[in-house]
Amino acid sequence: MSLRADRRLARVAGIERQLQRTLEAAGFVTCRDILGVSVIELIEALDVDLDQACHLADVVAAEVAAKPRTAHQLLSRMSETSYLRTGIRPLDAHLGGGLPHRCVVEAVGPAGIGKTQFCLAVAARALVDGASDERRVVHIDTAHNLDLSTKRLTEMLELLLNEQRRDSPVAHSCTVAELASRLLVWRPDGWDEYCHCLKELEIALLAAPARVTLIIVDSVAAPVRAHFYTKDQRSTRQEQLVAHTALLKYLADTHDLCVLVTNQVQGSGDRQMVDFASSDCVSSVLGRDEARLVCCLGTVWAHSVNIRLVLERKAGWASASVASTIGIGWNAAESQEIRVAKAPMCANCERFGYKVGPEGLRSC
Amino acid sequence: MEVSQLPLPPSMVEMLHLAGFSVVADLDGISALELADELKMSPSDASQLLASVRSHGLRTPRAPPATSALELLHDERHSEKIVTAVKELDDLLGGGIPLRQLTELVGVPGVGKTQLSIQLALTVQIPRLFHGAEGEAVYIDTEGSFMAERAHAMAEALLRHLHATAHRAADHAQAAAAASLRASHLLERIHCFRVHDAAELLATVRSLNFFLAERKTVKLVVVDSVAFHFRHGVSDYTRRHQMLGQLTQALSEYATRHSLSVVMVNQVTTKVNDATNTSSIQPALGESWAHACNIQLVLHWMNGTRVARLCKGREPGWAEYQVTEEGVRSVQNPTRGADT
Repeated sequence: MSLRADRRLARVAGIERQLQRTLEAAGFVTCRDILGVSVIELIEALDVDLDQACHLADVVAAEVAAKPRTAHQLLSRMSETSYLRTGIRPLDAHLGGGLPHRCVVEAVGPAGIGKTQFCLAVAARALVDGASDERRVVHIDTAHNLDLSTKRLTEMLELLLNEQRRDSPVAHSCTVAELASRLLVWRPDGWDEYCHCLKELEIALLAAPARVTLIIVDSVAAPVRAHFYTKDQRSTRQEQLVAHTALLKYLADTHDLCVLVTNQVQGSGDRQMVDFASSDCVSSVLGRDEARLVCCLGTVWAHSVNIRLVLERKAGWASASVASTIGIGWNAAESQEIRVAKAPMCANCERFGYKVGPEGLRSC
Repeated sequence: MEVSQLPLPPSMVEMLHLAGFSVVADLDGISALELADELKMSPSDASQLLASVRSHGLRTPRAPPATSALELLHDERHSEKIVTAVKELDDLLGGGIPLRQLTELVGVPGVGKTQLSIQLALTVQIPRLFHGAEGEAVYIDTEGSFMAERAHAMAEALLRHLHATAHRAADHAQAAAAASLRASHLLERIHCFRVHDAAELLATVRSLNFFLAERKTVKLVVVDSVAFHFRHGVSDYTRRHQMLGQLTQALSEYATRHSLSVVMVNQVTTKVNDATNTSSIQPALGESWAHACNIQLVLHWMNGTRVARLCKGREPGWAEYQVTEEGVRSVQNPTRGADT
């Protein structure tokens, strides 16, 4: 992360030579060092008067401060290509065109609901839609889900390519192999390696021969749950988790791309919390009971993502009878839904039924 | 006044002390040359020192003039408010979010804090003819959640509402004012600052001083959210407090000086009690932060409905609300807009 606050004071124009030397002697190296302390502390540490200290703080603040852009300017930089389609049309329309760039999107749901499928479907479309510009996708596979899914990915690419050729006959010629080679897979083991990957990611993004439009992390819960499991680690976990999301958001914003992360669910031991934080709630049909589950990683994480999509199982209208006659463990006639639990651009939480088709996910 | 109270470099204060100057009056009538001789410094440094003593030291601090409660009441009744567009909530707030105050907006993820903030950045622009503040908005976005498309949709809805209000009242002046407004105009008056860490947030708020001096019409500053960057990277607890204090102090100064409203969005945290093995949801940033704001609005879910609860600032109460295509609205009358 190359943040403006990490700029060295020596590079800041408007600080006199004499003062530069005093700063260095007093141990102030970067802009961050100045911004974190009060003016009184500056007077004490640098032996300057109030006006000089204020002036210094102002100069450094001006160097680091964000530059304003009006909402109108922000709107005009959005275009059709600022969204990644999921393939579930009503969902894409609801979100304004798909998963927006510059956002961290979370897909959360019980095991086997299709989170990895969802990621692959979005990745495949991103590759096919961005084929003419050689757009790339980075896939960080912490749960090693991709082993079993590479064939699935090529199937999706194949079908989507055919669809594209059919719709626009003049389209460029691009093979499935070419597209698959534009999906870069990183497979870190454990939290530390994962964090290391993220730090390297920015260099990789800058070095990539063409623009990366999507970063997938499947899943973020796996390394976190494996690494922080005792109660004493709770505050460290929170802090590291937020720091890691801040990094993802920084990448999404500065490189104009979408970050899609998956998260797991767990049983809720605490009734009160589920009632209160309803975007945390996940319902799922397990056996014949509707289970109450909550998203992993807690409230701090839930605050940190921009968009939360909850993948849920709902008992269908024919479910009970069918399940009992077939006698299988899970509900055959269940329907699957994506609920938009959090999205700053949408009205009240909407639900969208979907099913897994050969070309990815589709509306139903 | 003691010499040590002067805003001088500590070394200078030390020198004055050693030379026997302990109160400012000791320096009365002394010439630069005399002082230079006493302190063993160059006459130019000495005259500079005297100049700074005169400018600061002889300025005795004066208490601000007192006002009566009646005057304050009058001011409050007649000052502009920023409507939330949820009628029941505006009633609780006495017309809307007041200017010159710090308001905290705290709530669980996905409950609509950001959407309400975006909407406030639009309703602050309601023209005076409609009893609005007719101001611009500054939006400091720490989470990347400001959605320009959403702001655009809300702006269109607000304009429709203004047209309808003017039409109902058969007020030609209002109709003309509403007709002259475009959604793009409203969006041009929202100034967004995207910040990526706590230091950038502090720097941006400090630099806002100059921005606000240039743009006198800014009537709302939103920080969405204060919590995010203070929940990582600043591990030292005292340092975090000092930084938060610095932030609120600056914002509170702007609120008074430019008579604008400051809205600070806060996150919630799950407090776990290991002894009883229970957990509860509380505003983040701790107890001392809770004192920083004059008004606290808590947004949460109650039986599947969104509820805004006024916890501090006025008589406590709560109002249900919903988030529609138009924006944040009352539940009873979903089409009702910004009430003027």
